[in-house]
Amino acid sequence: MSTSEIPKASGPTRRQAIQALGAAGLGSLLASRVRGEDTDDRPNIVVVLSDDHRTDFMGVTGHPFIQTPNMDRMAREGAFFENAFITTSLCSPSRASYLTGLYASTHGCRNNTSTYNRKYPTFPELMAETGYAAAYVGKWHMPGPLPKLVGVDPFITFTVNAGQGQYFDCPLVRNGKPLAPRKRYVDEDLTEHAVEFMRANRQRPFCLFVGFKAPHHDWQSLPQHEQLYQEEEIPWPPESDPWLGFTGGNVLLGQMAWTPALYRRYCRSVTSTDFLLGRLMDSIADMGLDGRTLVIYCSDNGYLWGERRLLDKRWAYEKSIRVPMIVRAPGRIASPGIHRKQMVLNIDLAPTALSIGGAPLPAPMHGDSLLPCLDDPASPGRDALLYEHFVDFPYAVPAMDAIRTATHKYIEYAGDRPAELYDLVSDPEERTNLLENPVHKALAGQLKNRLGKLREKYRS
Amino acid sequence: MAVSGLLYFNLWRLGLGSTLRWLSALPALAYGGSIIFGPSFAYHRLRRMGIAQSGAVALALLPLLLWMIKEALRLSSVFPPGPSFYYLFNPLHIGIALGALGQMGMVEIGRRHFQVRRQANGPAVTRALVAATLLPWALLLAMQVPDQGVSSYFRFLSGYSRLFEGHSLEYK
Repeated sequence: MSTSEIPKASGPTRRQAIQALGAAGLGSLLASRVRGEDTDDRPNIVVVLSDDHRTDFMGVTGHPFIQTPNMDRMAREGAFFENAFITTSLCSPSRASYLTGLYASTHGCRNNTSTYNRKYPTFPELMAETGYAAAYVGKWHMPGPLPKLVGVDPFITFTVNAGQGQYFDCPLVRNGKPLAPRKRYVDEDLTEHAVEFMRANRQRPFCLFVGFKAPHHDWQSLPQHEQLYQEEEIPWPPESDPWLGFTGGNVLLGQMAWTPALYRRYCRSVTSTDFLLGRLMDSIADMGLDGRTLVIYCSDNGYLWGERRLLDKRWAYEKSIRVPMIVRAPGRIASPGIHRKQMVLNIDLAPTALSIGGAPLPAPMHGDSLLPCLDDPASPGRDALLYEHFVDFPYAVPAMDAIRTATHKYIEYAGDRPAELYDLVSDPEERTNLLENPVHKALAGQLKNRLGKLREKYRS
Repeated sequence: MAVSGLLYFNLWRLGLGSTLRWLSALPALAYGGSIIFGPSFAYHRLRRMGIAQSGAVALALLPLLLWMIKEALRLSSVFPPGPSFYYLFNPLHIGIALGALGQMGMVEIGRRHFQVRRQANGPAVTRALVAATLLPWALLLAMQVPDQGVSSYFRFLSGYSRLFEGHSLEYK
């Protein structure tokens, strides 16, 4: 492997070593070791985070008609994590978890109206500390004043609509100052800024975080995708109907329309996201950076499209908490096209990037680097994950905690709503709550106990 | 409203498969229609029964108010009373109420117009009535106009954040 290729990590041992070095203030020594004497050959890291992209809405995951050639290509040329989840299925908390490697109960951004505790730095800031050129381009959407991301330049985002932005003619903010849009479609504008950053920094290692607005509601797409999927048959869950968008407060979510029309708009918006992801990857290749750039595509949460008669995220059900997680790293992945089964999480992104960049991991750090799972299909990964949701005004979704193992899910709600237990192997659609049958009480007790331990571990 | 709502929200339990997708249209349209057009229909009936204008407005809005309270109660299963009460004033509720007032004004204008045609000394369509009819529609229209990219929904959310979380959602 040449020095310009993405170095392989040695798993937890390396992590522990980096933590120890960091604690001793010797992180920079490690960085210079990785960098070499004269030039810094550490790999570039590009993270593309989309918004509300449910993982089975891609060609690679078998959606019947959606076109995502670039995501499919990423999976073909890289590694696809089949069991990627988020720890809180909501935009702001999940984004903060991606950036900090922490659960929402720790970083403080528990819902779309609460603020993120800035005492926990984002990984692009930590990468900048070790000499990376770092940029944040895209949706920030965490309440409170826009922070100064130390060492991150540019920090380009939008603030209209309480940080949700708008799809067309969206005014941007660059390092705290207003910036007029140059492209009508906001994600295309962001892509241009991202490419400019990469071009300006192609001689040194860079860490780029791109946060797309799409495919969040109101599900707009690039003009060339507006006519797609007009006639395709939508695979509706049997319990859903076309009027769901008008009920249960869904109108407030911007869904006051015929649900099939919304579904098609969502699919078009995903295709636009895919198109811009392709543009980013093509730019990386055109700059000759393919061999030394690791690209990760992921999303902040999934989405329920009619399952359980819901059009929402927030809930702990599979369609809501599963996200795409694709890693493309030419030269790094021994067998391109691999699919990994281990359960990985949004909080794993920060430690992964920091490990690759040779940056020390801050404490606390709840996530684990993806690299051992990436390198070794036999790597055990985590055996259970904690899911947490906090109430989010004005949605009547109760606060909940859940534990998900490879085979089961146990959900506990605040208030009167009874707990739920599902066998994910025999009932992947989570239609039968096993707690209605006393036979499964013992299993529920075990999972409840493990859930308590996970809470203790991550909320201490 | 109550019957169509009960039907719509429970029809799926029958396990109708794909039939549900078209059969649900009947209760869905009846339910939505009763929320949006119910007050003006009731107003017309109440006026024909001889109820005074202000009384008819109040009575016609009552089912709508009950529906809004039902929605706020739905939220109160998750949120404390303060935010649940605040939810009553969400832009959807305000929009529907404004639309209902505007419709009732139109009904009243229509009634008076036909009364005048039938009997020369019927109540006239006054400027005040026309203004009272146009005002809700104008307010409803104004709600749709974003102010510097901020829609009425985000203003509502920002109000919640200021009142109950002690901070603004606006970026500085």
